[in-house]
Amino acid sequence: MDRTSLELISLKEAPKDFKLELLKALELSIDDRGLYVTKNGEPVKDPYIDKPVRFDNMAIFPGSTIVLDDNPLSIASYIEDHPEAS
Amino acid sequence: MASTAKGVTEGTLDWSAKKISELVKRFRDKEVAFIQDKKNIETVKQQRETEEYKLLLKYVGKERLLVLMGLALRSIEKNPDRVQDLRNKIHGKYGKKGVHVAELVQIGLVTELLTRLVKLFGAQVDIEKTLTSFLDQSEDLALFIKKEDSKRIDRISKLVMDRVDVNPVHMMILFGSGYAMDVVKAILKRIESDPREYLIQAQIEGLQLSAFVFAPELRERLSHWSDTLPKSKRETKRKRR
Repeated sequence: MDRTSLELISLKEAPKDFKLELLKALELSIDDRGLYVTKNGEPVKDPYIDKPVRFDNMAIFPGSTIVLDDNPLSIASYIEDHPEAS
Repeated sequence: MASTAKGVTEGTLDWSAKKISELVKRFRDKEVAFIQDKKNIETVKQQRETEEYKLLLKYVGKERLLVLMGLALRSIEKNPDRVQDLRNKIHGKYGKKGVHVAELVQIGLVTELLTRLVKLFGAQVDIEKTLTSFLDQSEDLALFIKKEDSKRIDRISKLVMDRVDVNPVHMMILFGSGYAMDVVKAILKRIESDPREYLIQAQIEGLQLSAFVFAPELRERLSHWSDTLPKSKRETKRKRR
């Protein structure tokens, strides 16, 4: 990854429909209750904290479409594992 | 991250459905990432760039993420909800000991120790060993007092004195902030009245009280609280000459 090429797009102001369409385009979805991000019907777990990722707090990084909970620990762990993203 | 990236785009995007295909293409090309809120990534980015983190990074190995989280905790101290959420995440991944280490960084104690060790030791390996030793023992050496502990002054005072007597470094560190400062003071008062005459060094910074309790036997030998930590073999040899 080019160190100057990654643009971070905040979804904070994005409408729910937009986020749902975005997830769909990335082959992801949400569960019946609308709480958690799913892939193939299964909740997606943040690999760094081993917890299901909430729809209203997701972070999605390129590569293998890595879905994280948007918190400092998971973000810092991701950067540790992907120094090219720092 | 954003320091070398193009930055965070927020609130200025066209959120129309037709934009999605373009964004997804850029995502597949590894040009963009999506985050809920910029504040967390900015917290991480800012702390990674601090001189304090860069200094600590030279001497901590596997604990570096906890060190970074300690600095992150400090930077979000004014937002109790964020602090609690991050503490929960740290606890979930690293347990109580991990929270302890992060909190020791948060309150500045690890940096204080490191600054001292850098002056004391020449070799990086000696500094690393002593710092690691402290972090490994932090659960036994440090006690974070809460305001709820006001009901357990006697019990905690006894616990502190017992640990000081038993642990190999003969020292305990107590911390309290806000309302808990008075609880720490009450505990120290109780320890002070013990006939063994424990040595106590306390310092107040803002709304935070840190107190070091030492075994009476160390009274004549201490110039700094870190003097009780085990020295590396190299340092011991140097002192024997």
